Order: sequence, then structure tokens, then C-alpha cells
Amino acid sequence: MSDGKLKLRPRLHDGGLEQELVAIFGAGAVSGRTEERIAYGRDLWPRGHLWMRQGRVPYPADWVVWPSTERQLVQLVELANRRRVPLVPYGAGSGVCGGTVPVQGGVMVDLKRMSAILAVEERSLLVRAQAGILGQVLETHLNARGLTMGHFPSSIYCSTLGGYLATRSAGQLSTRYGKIEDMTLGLKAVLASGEIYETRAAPRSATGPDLLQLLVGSEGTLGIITEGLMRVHRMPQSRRFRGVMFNEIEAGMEAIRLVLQKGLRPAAVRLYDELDTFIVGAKPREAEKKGFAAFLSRIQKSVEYRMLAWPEVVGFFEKMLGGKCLLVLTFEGAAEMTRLEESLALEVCAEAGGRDLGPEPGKHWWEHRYDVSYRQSPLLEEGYFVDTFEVAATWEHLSTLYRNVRQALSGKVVVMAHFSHAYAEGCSIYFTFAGRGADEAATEALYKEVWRVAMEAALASGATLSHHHGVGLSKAAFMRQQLGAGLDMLKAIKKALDPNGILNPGKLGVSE
Amino acid sequence: MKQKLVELPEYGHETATCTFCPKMCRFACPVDRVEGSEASSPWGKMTMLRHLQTGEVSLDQGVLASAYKCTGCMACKQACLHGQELPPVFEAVRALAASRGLAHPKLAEKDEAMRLWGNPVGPKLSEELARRVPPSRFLRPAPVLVFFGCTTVKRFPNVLEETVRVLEAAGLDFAVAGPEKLCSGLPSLSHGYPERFREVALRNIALFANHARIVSDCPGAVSTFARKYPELGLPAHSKPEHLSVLLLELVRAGRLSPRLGRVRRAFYHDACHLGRYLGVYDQPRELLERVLGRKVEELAFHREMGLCSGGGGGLPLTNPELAAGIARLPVEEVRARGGDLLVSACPSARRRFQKADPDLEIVDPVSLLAAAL
Repeated sequence: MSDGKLKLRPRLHDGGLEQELVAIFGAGAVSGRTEERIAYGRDLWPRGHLWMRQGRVPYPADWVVWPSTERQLVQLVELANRRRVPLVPYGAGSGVCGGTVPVQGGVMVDLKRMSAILAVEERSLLVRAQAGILGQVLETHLNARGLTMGHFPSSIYCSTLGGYLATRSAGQLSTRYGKIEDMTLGLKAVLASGEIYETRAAPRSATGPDLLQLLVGSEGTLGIITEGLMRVHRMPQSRRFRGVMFNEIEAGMEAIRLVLQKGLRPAAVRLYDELDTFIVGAKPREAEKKGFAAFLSRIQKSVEYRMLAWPEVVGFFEKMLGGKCLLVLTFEGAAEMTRLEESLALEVCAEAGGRDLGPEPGKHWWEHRYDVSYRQSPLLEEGYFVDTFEVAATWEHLSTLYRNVRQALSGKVVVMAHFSHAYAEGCSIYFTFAGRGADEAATEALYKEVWRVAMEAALASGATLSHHHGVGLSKAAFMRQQLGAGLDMLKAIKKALDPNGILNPGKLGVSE
Repeated sequence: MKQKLVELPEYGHETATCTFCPKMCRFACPVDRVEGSEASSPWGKMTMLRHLQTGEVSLDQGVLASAYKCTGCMACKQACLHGQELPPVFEAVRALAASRGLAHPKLAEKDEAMRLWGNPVGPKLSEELARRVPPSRFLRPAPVLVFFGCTTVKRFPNVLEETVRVLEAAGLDFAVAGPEKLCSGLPSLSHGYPERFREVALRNIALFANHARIVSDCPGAVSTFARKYPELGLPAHSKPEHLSVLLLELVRAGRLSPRLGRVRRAFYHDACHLGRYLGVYDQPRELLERVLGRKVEELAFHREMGLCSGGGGGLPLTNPELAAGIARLPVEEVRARGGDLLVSACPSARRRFQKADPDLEIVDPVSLLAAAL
């Protein structure tokens, strides 16, 4: 039959390529089928959702391969250099910046069949695993041994270890366990030269610059990461949860600063602004909703799903809410330690004007910590766009950054924010925004405009453009402003390591 | 700005929810775990269906191929905040294909067997059943009717004999469905032949009406009886139940007293239809603890998140290598953790595991119980 109206772009790289790929990987690990060409044509960059709604696949993959050995990757790299074919390393496609969109066609290198846990070294508290393992699968197997990696990004169900490394990821408990770069003791990668780079397993080295960290965050442009040697922890003896309410966002920010500068290390630190507190921050459990709480819940739903079309109305509504900003704190570790840390943190919060709400808000957050990832579908179905960006700044600039970005987006979209991933020196702000235009074209135009003004406001406020989502396509155009001369350094490194530009072209701002 | 849907519009909400989701259920999906392709992740399959609904692609442009890659294990629902049930959606795609003459030939073959014999194998099943079960057990009035699964009859005839022996030892008044061996109809339903399912189900319901408990060793059969038969007329007084539940009841009541032999370390596999569909998790574990003298070992993914065996949804027929890969996940874990005994209360799962690792001891709980009497 084959009478669908979707006409995919002809392959940009063909001419006997399939046979060469089959010779390396075998027929069962190579695909140019329609369903794969479509599925690999977008990741979770919200622009891809807009394309989907418009019935478009502007960047279909040419080919997909599933390597099972580094040897195959070495052969693939040789082939790609010889034929000048782009290779796009691919984990689970959960990135939200378009980092795996095959803008120049080529071969998607899906690592998910390299997903073994190779070794668990309980004495050294390390796990060696292949890059394609899904985060939740790795964590579940570690849990079965009484261990945890402590890396809990909200994408843990749908992202891979290799993806964490390639994008310089951070998890929700990063304040205690660190970000992925802190957890990585070693890695293995196939370089564009065809060499296999493997670091030595040592807790630290002073043997020149840390090349491992050059690959962490390289977004597939400098090598194909195939393995990680990761630090793990014994499962915490106790977990404590707390919620503290502040009357204004600055008071909450100040409390976080003082908690961190006192040397305390909560596992999670999350401060929600007024709208975020109202929508996601302090919901009671469904079963507990009675009377006014049930009424409030219905209003919350209508705010989420209907009022987003009128940012001005939501802005007015937000002012009516009055200052109520929820801070969630969680603590993990030995029981004595968590008790003490919690007690000291609450003292600091009280001094900063916080009102202790007890453990329930923290427990509620913990039990629903991934729920927000499911919430965008209904909005997208209704014709909205929903997106997020996560910037970071020092305490000196944080409040200004928050206000400037809010101001820049005011009236254009509904925007809310929470502060998380706290440091003694500063904090990350995670903005969520949603909106729509009169039709699909207007919606896409608004989406682009919002990104432009948000990035410019963040840069003008002294922020870094990404705390943990990475760059991909969505922030590539801003990399000169972000890195300055550093972008030339990065480009020079890229040129030296990948002279033919075969690895993930068009991403990270290092190549066209 | 909602899209206009021209095919299967009744599933518009389901496809929109999945298509715009960040693939949150993929870690739970056995197909995804093994194939690792975006196209056969739940997100990818629903994306293709969305393209079909909006008229952008046709059934044979990858939609059907991906819709066949679902075992019906329902692990996706477990990981979905919206509680989306994808297996019925893919069954509808398969039914659409069958109605247009596009069904997978292996599934069409099975449908023909179902039409001729009421089971997907053929007349051999009735012959085997008649050979293994005393004739006096068939067609007799009794409160309990034992309905053996097709895979049990074909692949594990020892389980027929062990079940009869154990229930007789408990002094239970029971009958066995047969000697004509009918299937529950689950394969017809999941392969995309709802009318054939209805035919077989109505024949079974006529046989079940005079029994208070319909007990099967096949979780797929029990879940089909419980979920699908009432709307076709199964009377409320005929209660479907899994064999392991009945056996535990008999042990607890002291009607069966297993002798503890050598204490054995056994891994327990949660069958999809027994666990996620019927919510039976604790009873088989307690039964095994009483028989083995120690708690069962848990696989890393267990209970609500238990691993599928790859046997459902016609996957071994449409995608045999993928089905085999799924079966390898639990058995490889058992081996890696130094185990040599895997217990599953699902005959289809045992068959898949046995093919994946012929040297691993894989048994039904009733076999362990029979040996302990």
C-alpha cells in the first residue's frame, strides 16, 4: 500500500554505505527502515515535538547502527573518515537541546546494545559499565547489591550512562553526591582517529590536564564514549525530608547560601518560586485532598492546562498568590549525621525567615520527583510548547539573573522557576516556560523568540547558559558569547582530534 | 490546534500522550531493553502509530512492524504516571492489519489452528491431555475446574501429572477441563483476531458455568478469564484463580504438608499476567518459602517491575530473535548471581527460559511441591 503523505528527505549519505555497514555490524544491527529514520530524526528537544505536531520530519536519520564492540566502532570510524560520513553517537535520545538530531544525515551510532555491567568493585566502591545502559537499570542492579550511584536526573528512566557523560549531566541529589564529572573515575572512548582512549583507574592523577574531563560534556563531538568507571556509594542508612516556606524568593535563596556555606550538604536542595510552588511544589497527596484542598487542586489543574494561553492573566494570578516559596531539603547518610544536618539546616532557615512545614513536603517531593517529566504531554497535545532551561550564577548575580530572565519573558509565556544544585558559591536556576501562538507557525516563531531573549537576558546577568542540559543545537549560536576565546580553543581541539569533522557535526557550536 | 486523525482515532489520546512523552517507561519495556531501538521503544511505536493516525504513513511503512514488537507484559503501564495501557492499542493495530489482509503470516497460521482446533497447536494437545489425566477427571461435576495451559500440555506434561497428584493428595474435589483442549483465547486477542477470541471464549464459558473456581496453571489464561470473560457472560460465581493461589490455600489449611528436604536457593520470576495483570505476588513466594525452607531470591527487577520472558503478544512468532533476547535477561542474571534454580509459575515463560539456557533448572512451583510430598 505505502500511500502515506510523509515524504522523507532522501538519504544524504548512501551509495553502497549500507553494505559496508552490514559488513561491520551484521544485518541485524544496521537499519535504514522508515520507522528508524523517523524515530532517530528527533530527540527530546521541544522543537522536535513541534515538528511532530506539524507532521514533519525535517532531519530523518540516514542509517542507524547498534555496535556491540569497540572493535566495530574503530572500523566504523575508519569508514566514516574515508567516506566523510557524519557519525552521531546516540544514547537514549532524552536530551532536550537537539544534541543528537542528525542535521547533516549520516549514521546514528546507538550504544544501547553495549549495556553490560562489566564489574562491581565493592571494596573500592566502583562500577564499570558500558555506555548504553539505562540509568534506572544500572541503579536497580546496584540497589540489589546495597549500592547506589547517587545520580538521579529526572530523565533516569530514559537516559544512558554514556549520555550522562557526554552531556555533563547532573542529578537531583547532586549537592550530596556530586555531578557526573565528580562521579567519573575513568572512561573509555573511541576517538575519531580510530584509537581507543582508556583512562587509568586511580582516584586522582597529576599527569597533565585532565583529559577525561575533556570528553565529559563533549556531546559526541570528540569521541564515542563506550564505558564509564563510576564511583558508587553504599545505600544510605537514613533519609530525612523537610519542607520550609519562605515569604519571598530572596529569603529562600539566602537560606540556601547560608546552609551551604555552613558546610552542610543536603542531598537535595530545591527552592520553588511562587508559581512553581503553587503548581508543583506543595501538592498534598490525592487521598488527602478534601474541602478547600480539593478545590485548590482543581484550580491548579486549570492553571496548568488552560490558563497558559494567557501569560498576563497568570502573572496577575501569581501576584495574588502572595509570596509563598517552598524550599525542599533532603538529607541522606548515617542516621546521626542526617539528624544533625537537618537540625542545623533548619536553624539557618528559621534565621532567614523560613517556616518549618515538617517532613511531608519533602517526602511528597521524593515520591513524585520524576512526575514533572510526564506532565508536558497534555500541554503539547493541546498545541502549546513547553521547555526548560537551566542557568547558573554566583550568589552575587543570582537574584538579578532570576529577575532579569523573568522580566524578559514576561507577557510572552508563562514562566516559573526553581533553584536547585546548590553550591557554596552559587546555584542553578531551572526555568520552565510554556506558551502558544495563534497557529503552529506563530507558536514556533514565539518559541524561537523566547529562547533568544531568555539567553540574552541570562548572558547579560553574568550566568552560564547551561548548568547540566548541555548545548546541542539549541544553545550553539550563543557559544561565542558564553566562551569567548574559549570557543576558538574548543574548535582547535576539535580540529586536532577530528580533522574530517565526522563526529556529531553542527553541535556544541564547534562546527557548522 | 489538535490534529485530525484518520485511522484508529479512538486511540488519539494515547498516541499523543506517548508521542510527546520523554520516553519515561522505556527502562521497563523488555523489547526496548533488548533491541535498543528508538523505533521499537514504546515512544517510537506510538510515534509511528500517531503518523498513521494523521495519514502521514501507511500501515506497512513501519507501523505494523513496530506494533508487532510488544509482548503485552504491561510493564510500560507500571512506569507510566498516566497509567497508559499500550498492549490493547497494538492489538488494535494488529487487528486492523488482519482485517486488511496484512497480518504476519505466522499469526495468520495460528489463527487458522484456532479456528480448526480451538487451540493454537492442533489435535495433539487433546491427545496429550487425555494420555496424562485420568479419564474420570473430565466432564464431572466438581467445585473446582482445573484448566491447563496449552504450553503446559505441549511442553510440560509432567506438570499435568504433578498437579493431579498434588490435588488428589489434598483430597480436593476437582475436574479437569477436557479432554478436548481449548485455549483461553488470549493468543487470538493479542495477535489481532478479536472475533476468534470471542468464539473460543464463549465455548469455554459454557464449560465453566457449573464450577465455582476455575483454576489454571497458565497466568495468561487466568487473567483472560478474569478480565475478558465476564463481559461475555462468565457468571460471577465462577471465580478464576491461579494454581499457585489454590496450592498455598491447601498448604496453609494443612491439607498438604511438604517435607523440607535440602534447603534450596531459588530465584523467583514474576510472570506478567500473574503479577501485573492479577496482582498475585505474595502467594507464590509464600508457597515456595514453605516448600523450599527459605525465602526466594529476588531478581533485580521483580514484583511490579518483574522482567517479561518474551513469550507474549506473538513475539516468538513475529520476532523470534528479539523474543530469545528478552528471555536471556533473567536467566543471565540468575547465572551471574550464582543461581542454578529459577522458578516461574508461567509455562510460557519457562519454555522461553529453557530455550535460553537449557542447563538451568527451571520449574513450576507445583513441581517442587509434588516432589516434597
